[in-house]
Amino acid sequence: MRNFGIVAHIDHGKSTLADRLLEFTGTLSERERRDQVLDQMELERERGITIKASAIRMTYAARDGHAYVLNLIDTPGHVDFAYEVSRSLAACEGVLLVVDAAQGVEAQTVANAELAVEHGLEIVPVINKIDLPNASVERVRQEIEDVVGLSSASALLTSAKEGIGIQEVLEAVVERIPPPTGDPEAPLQALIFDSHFDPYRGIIAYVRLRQGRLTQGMRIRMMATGKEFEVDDVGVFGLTMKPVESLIAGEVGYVAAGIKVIGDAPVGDTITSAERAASAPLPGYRMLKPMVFCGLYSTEGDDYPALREALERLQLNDAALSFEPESSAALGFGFRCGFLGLLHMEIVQERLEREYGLTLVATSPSVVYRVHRTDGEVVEIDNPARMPEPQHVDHIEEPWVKAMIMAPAEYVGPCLELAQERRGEFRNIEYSSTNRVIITYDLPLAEILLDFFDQLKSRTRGYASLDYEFAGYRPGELVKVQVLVNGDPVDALSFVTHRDRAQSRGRRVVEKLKQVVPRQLFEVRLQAAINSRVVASETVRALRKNVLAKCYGGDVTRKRKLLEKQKAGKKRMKQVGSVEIPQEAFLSVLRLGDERE
Amino acid sequence: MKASSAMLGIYIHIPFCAGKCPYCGFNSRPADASVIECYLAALHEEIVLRSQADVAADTVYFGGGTPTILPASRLADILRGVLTRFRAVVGAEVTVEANPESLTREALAELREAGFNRLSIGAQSFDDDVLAALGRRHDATRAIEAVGDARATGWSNISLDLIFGVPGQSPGQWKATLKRAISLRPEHISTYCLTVEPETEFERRKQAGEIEGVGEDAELEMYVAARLMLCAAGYEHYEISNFALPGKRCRHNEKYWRGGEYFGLGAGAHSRAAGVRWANAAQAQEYIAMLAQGTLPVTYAERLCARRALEEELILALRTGEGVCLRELGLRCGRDAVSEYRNQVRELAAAGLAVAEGSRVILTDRGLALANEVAIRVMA
Repeated sequence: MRNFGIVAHIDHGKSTLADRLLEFTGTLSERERRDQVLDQMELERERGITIKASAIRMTYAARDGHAYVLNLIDTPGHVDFAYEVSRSLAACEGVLLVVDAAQGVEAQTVANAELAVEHGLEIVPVINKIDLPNASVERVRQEIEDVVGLSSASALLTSAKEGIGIQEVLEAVVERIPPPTGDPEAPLQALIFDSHFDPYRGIIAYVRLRQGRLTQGMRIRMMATGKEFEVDDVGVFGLTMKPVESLIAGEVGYVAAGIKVIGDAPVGDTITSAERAASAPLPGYRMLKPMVFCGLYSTEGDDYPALREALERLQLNDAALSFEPESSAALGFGFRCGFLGLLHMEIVQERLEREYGLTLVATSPSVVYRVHRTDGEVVEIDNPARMPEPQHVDHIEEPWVKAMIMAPAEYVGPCLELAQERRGEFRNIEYSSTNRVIITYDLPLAEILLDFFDQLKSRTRGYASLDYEFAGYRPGELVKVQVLVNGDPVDALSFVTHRDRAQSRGRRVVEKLKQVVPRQLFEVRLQAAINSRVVASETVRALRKNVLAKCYGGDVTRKRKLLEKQKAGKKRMKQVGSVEIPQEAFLSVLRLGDERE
Repeated sequence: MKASSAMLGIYIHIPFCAGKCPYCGFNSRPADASVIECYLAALHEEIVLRSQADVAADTVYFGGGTPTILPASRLADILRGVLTRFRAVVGAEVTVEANPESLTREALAELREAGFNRLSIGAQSFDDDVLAALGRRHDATRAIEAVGDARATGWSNISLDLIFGVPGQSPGQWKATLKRAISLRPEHISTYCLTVEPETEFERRKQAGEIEGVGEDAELEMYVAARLMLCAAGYEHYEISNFALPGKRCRHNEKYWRGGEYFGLGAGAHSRAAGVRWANAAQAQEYIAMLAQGTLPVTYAERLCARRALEEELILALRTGEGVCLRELGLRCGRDAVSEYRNQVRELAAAGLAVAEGSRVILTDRGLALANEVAIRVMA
């Protein structure tokens, strides 16, 4: 038996390689074949990213004449989901590190390799997409040596798309990745590395058994939460889930135990036996803490209960999503939602709209600020609207990240410039022999939320990649910028930013708003204010003429359609005082584009 | 479909013209003689099928296209058919639309003789640059002559159509056109703000950046200028785009705005009677084909429930100078319009778009210029 994962930078061909392995081992017949089986969500296939970890079991008849059970544990490829990657790796003894033969080593390649080393895993480098005309195997080998610090001599060469080198990959898994160890007779220790919610059976926890045995009907205890359950069902992953009598040390499978709340069986927790408990849990469990918050509101006020239900359902499969009700003077009733990062936020929004048919307004995302009040109290603020009045604030701390940017050497200038503009603190720069650089910066997380990645891509013509990890809180000169519409502060548009940047961002938000707020029957004044001092002001002129010239027999029907359309457009807007503001206005705070003036 | 009211309006659509004007979004196109013959035969067939000997018509309106592209004798034939199949009352208003270049003295005399008594001339402008910009086939002199010819052949009810807001047109040019129009003393003047309609040459040019609208401020200035100058000259502003000397309003068009009943005959014509609205096939070929099979050429019909009928009439009547009496309207539609619309009326008044006098609601100047905004607020 072998347990292994595949890690790669986004788009380097991880999911396609996984599909080929399934095909080669006959796990997946030609008839069942559809691209990227492991990416089960429609959204995952469409966007070409893996959001949830996933596992599958195959049987491989190796050249040595033995048959091996191989458990492949797929992992998400995005920095937002680093924690899930880390848990998935904890279930493996080795990984295939897939590197695109044309793109070379990217930021997440390095981050993933580092994670694998931390977990003490055997790493098998795989250079994929060697069929591409611009593939450059020797350069990539060099990068694997220089940048990742692995020997590339035994790197495998594949083209998952063309089915080249697949058997060699399977052979390497058998030969180079060690078999699992662990005593089946010791007290049970099973790591939950993922889970999903089944409406009939409750939480289905994906587990890796380190030691002991997990059997149907046994009483189990979650070591972090202390909750106990009786096992309904255990099994392994084929293309579908196959029940088995028991799982033993070293195996990967699932367990269902009538667990209804995802918080009762969180990813990273250790399952043990209630009767004969292990002395300690497996390392690595931590509470997932959302880093990015925004308000989500339905444009149709009466969809509020539907939005709640949809969020509750998503949360069943996504422990990292948090939400609590909030209300906004401008937007009515909605939810303050917490996410791991921007991509996570986008994905949740997209799923809410697509899978639940909701139309949403999202307020601009915010990080969690730690506000030290003058009375000594420290409060965490994830919504700029809740920021205490300036006279009560002693100082504010904001989250920082350690960011790693990888790019071809000719783009060093633009990368440094961007990081510098975003209040970055330079840490390090490393040149590899293959003309690639790794730039390390400390950056405020809030600056990364503000289209940092888009800017990085556009300034490096798409060549740079980014990875980051949370690096603690630091005090910052932060102020809240309020946006006022006809004199009324609109909480959903206000934001917190650095003092030096506040005025120019306030001006830009107001300018942007002017473009998206339609003319109304009266003049609309748009202002940005810092500590109630107005720093920018724009005016949307009153609408003076909107009339159809001709209204005779046949025009009546046409006119009616036109008016109905205008009416529907009006309904989609949010009423702020007497001013109607379209949805996109709420995004304009976020999408400011280039910060350079 | 039977008409239920005593007085019916009859609209006859002639979907042909000498050439398509670049701003025109109407159902009209140049056509060859054989198509025209087939069309007239089909039109006759529809008149026969729709004939209502027991209902009186008090207005007849020939529109297009350019009806006068047909020989006067053919228009006279059609009118004869209409007058015999629908019982026209004495003193009925019988309008024909015409373009200056298609009007000769002979034709004018013949049309008058045949029973047409109101002439609506598509003058559009008395400025040659503006006429050229509009792609019209006549100049200012010809338009002025046409009015003179009509007077000389006994027409005592003449309307001029004028367009403002034409790309390149200045408020000064517009005022000069108004002045000239007033000096000709037509009984009626319609002033239309140019709308760039979808699928027109103007729209294409606008997309391509070749032309640019005059802008809202200039449009509004021209609209206000028309209102001031024409009212000062004794014309009554009785609908957003229409002005008339006392007693000379277009009775046919008023039916559209006051919940009247009308039959539209010809391709694409719309009708409304007995709580139903319907429309004919828009394409001449389809219209001809349907009538050749002896079927009514109706391709769209809807029953207007009381609520919808009331809402539409309210929106249309609010565009008129007299506004709307909610009590009367409610009685006619069998609903309590006064309380149904109390909140909306209050909102309109608060926004300075309308004033309420008892149960009558009249749009202010500002409200007229923003009639679509008014409509949206009235709509359920």
